[in-house]
Amino acid sequence: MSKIAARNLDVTVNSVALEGFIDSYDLNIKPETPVVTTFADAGPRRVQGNYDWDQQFGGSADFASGQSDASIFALVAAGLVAQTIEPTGSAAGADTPTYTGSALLSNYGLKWGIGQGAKYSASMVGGSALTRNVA
Amino acid sequence: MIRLAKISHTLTRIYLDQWDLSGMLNAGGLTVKPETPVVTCLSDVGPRRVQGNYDHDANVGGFFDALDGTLGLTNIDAALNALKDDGSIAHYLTQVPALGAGLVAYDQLVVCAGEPRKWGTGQAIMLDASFVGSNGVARGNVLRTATITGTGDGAGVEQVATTAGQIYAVVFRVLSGTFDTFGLKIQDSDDDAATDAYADVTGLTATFADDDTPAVARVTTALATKLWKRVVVSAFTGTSAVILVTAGVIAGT
Repeated sequence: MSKIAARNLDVTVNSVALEGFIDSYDLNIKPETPVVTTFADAGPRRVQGNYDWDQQFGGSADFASGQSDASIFALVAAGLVAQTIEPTGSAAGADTPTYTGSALLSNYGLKWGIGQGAKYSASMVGGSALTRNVA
Repeated sequence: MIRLAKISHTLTRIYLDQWDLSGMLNAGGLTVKPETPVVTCLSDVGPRRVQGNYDHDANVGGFFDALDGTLGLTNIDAALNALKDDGSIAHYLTQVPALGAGLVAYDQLVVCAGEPRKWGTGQAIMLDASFVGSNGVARGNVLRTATITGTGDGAGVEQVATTAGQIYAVVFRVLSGTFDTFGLKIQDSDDDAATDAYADVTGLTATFADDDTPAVARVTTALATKLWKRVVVSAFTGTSAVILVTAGVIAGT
């Protein structure tokens, strides 16, 4: 499997499968790239340090017991929670990588308006290494 | 009991203190933002963070309405204007995604942070308001939404059992009615009276008199409470009253 449709994504946060109420998902990995350019350099010089990662997701809010609203609000004071991202919807393999790590909820929003379903958005920031698994 | 999953707006209701603003608003929402300070050290691979306290805010939007409300401030312009210089008193903002007994309700203590009014050609005059949290936010339930005409017990609502120290907050609202006086109280039970009879929860009571409508009262307890809660009407004299009671555990307690 190479290029894939977004609908294959599976996301599990704190043992709760969220793909049933996500319609958008972003995973960002940001290596540190401090500038070490000196006077004699032509062009920039940088080195690579540690990295940070975060994710944003959202969709239609589900207020039933055990669904999105209950699951995500519970993270407000839950501390680090484990999560698994499966871009292809399959377990880790050479052609079906997964990402695993622990993260903290940093933002949870709800919105409702005329003519729309209730929507939610959430952001989580990394609190551990992010591992790309291929087996 | 109705369990709603994904919902449209048609049952959404928003209350600010004792006022039901649902008939004047067309947008609402809230945000909860936990603190996530970075504690990454030199030897760490990837980030390290811890979770601290949290902040919360809310935004509502709707249509400007200055119809003379006088007593009770029944128009949104008067209601919001009263907040701009009230000494930063924390107000009770309740947003209910879908109004119904047992369904989710968000109760926030907030301070008004802004209330712009906008007008332009071809548009209705708009009125928006933003609020910032002062004290906690509770994701709880509607315990009772009803027109009461006498004393009696409401249906039990399954929530969470709390331990001593957790803050369980109840917001009692009387939205309208013709009455002399009545009282509301919260009772709890382990199993909706299957084997454990309902009993009063100390301190979770409110009394309303005929010149208080609309009115709101918020009470809290740090005592342990049981899984099931219900609203009981006591000592009712009068014709009827429309009440809304929401309750939940303050996040982080």
